[in-house]
Formats: sequence, structure tokens, C-alpha cells
Amino acid sequence: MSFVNYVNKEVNCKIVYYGPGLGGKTTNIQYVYQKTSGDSKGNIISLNTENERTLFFDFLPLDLGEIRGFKTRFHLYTVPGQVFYEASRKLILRGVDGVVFVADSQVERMEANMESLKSLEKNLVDQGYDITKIPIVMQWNKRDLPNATSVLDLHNALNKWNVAEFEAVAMKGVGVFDTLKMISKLVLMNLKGGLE
Amino acid sequence: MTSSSSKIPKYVQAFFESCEIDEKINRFSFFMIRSDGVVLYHNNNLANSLSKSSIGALLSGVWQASKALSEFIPKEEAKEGYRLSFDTSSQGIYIVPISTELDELYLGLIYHDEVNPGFIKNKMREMATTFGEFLNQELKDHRAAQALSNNVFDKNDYLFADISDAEMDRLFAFIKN
Repeated sequence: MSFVNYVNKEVNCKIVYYGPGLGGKTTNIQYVYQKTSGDSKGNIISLNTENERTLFFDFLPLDLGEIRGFKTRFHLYTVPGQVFYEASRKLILRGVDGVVFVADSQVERMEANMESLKSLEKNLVDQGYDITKIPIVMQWNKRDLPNATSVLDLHNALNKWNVAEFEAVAMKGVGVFDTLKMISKLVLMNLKGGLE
Repeated sequence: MTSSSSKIPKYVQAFFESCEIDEKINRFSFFMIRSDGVVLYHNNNLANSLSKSSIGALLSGVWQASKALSEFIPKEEAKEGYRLSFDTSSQGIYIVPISTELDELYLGLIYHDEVNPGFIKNKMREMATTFGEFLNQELKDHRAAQALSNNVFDKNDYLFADISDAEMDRLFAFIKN
């Protein structure tokens, strides 16, 4: 749930990176962190398992700057991708304003992508969201791998709402900011509240 | 978002300007947060670089996780609201919910070197109760004033109906090459 603070003239929005395990969600926000100048970013928080897998969430606060007199602050979260962390994913989706679905392009991960997308749909519906109204952007990650499936196949299998989609190689930063910029724009344009 | 909930930051500011916070609490770090981790007020005396946003996200995260776990406890046993404590005998973290008519809010305290943690926890609970009462009264007054003036801005209006690519590029000007 976005938060418009009329006293301080600032908007706070929550963006969640969702997707199958080892798909590159954490890599996305780590790249954003690396490439963001000091004044605009806060600390990156990662609650990991001993082997560096996301246990609960990663969190990165970003102060983007002003738009029409409002300071914009984005809170980027990732969910843990492994299937048995479903309860945690559900919690992290609470109050979400926009979702980036990070799909793993490798052929053998297609089933995991579909499973994760199904879980996203279910968790959003469980929390009262209309999945056709909440801003969602698709990211086809790991495009550089030789076993990457075609973009058309990914689109047909995963992008049934025909939302914006981006090819990415998150490790190298390709597509990371294009994706973030698009979801940020959609989220800002979806903010309701009007002006007093 | 309702027009009432958009007023909450104003009420939070008014509350902390008007009330005298117990000096024992004031020397530690405390945060008022929403359920999604957005910090509404903070008195951050922590001697580290963790930003208030990060602390808000963590406080909210532990609360949400504990609340989900508490659903396994038989409901009839929960006669009073939960509080969350993670502590030793002299330092720790304490989170107490604030009962309001609107959003879920929490007060979180991070304390250390305290000889009487029970006392400051009690003060936190008192502050949560006082703020809850204050907020509910302000919201009631606000609604009454709105009804009189009929001056309600349309909550369904978009804040930014259209945003150009150039505006987005300016927002993302922080990216390092």
C-alpha cells in the first residue's frame, strides 16, 4: 500500500521482486545498489541462509528525487525463491504497490517459472489484490546463457496479461534499470489520493 | 488511501510535538512504523549507519513473521494484544502495536544498558495507548469537520495521472556509470 505523506510531500512505494529460486532477484537489487550514488540509497539488508540464499527478504531503500514537488522513496524487496518459503513470500507481498517478476530464461527452469507465477497469482488474490490492476513487469533474466529459451516462448508461457517485459542479464546489469524504471513509472501513475 | 489515513503523518507530528516523552525512552532509539515498514517517526540514537528505512523494514518484518506464527496459538488464549520482545536482561528490542481505527501501526524500541527494562516497556505500552487514543480522537474530529465543510478530495483521483519518460529519466539521474 503506497503511502503519500502530504506533510512532508513525499511518496513511499513498495516494489517486490518475485520469481523462482536462483532466478536473479537478489542480483537485480544488488546491481541497483552498486550503481546508485550514495545520497540516493540506504543500506541493503539481506536476511540470508548460511549459503547465501535469501531466507526472508532483501531490502533496499531508494530515494529517487522529486516529481512535481513530491519526494519519491521506493522500497525494493525480494522474496525468497525456494518453494518451501511460501509463508514468507505471502508476508512480503503485503502492502505491495508493484511487482517485478524475474523469470529464469533457462529451458529447464520454465516449470519453476510457471510454478512461481502461479504462487504469485494466488498470494496476490489471497491478499485482496486484483492481479490485472496491480502494476507488474516481467523480466526475462539470464539471456546470455546458451540454454536460454526464446523470448516468444517465455512470453507465451508467462506473460498472459501482456504487461511490459524486458530481457536482462542481471549479473552484468543489462535490463536491470530498464525494468526498475518501468515498474516505478507504472507504480507512480497508479498512485491514488489526489491532491488536497 | 483514504483522506483520513493521509492525515496520519500530521497527527504523528502533532503528537510528538505536544507530548513529553519519558527521558528513559528518549535516550534510546524508538520508531513509529506502519505495517509495511514505512517509518512515521523516529528518534534514532543508534551508533551505526543503518538507515531508518532499513530499521523500519526489519521491525515490520519481525512483527509480521511473529504475527503469522502466533496464528498457530489457540485464539481463546489471546485475551490481550501481543507484544514482541527480543531481549537479554539489559538490552533488546521491543515492539508494541498501536490500536487505531485505520492502519496498523507499531512502536519499536531498541535499548541497551538498561537496569529496568520492565519500566521502559511499560512506558512504551503507555505511549502506544495514549497515541492510539489521540489519533482516534483526531480522526473523529477530522471526519466531523469534513462532514461540515463537505471538503473531501477524491480518493480515486490519480496523484500523477501522466508521467513523461523525461520525468522518469530525471528521477533516475542518480545512476552511476
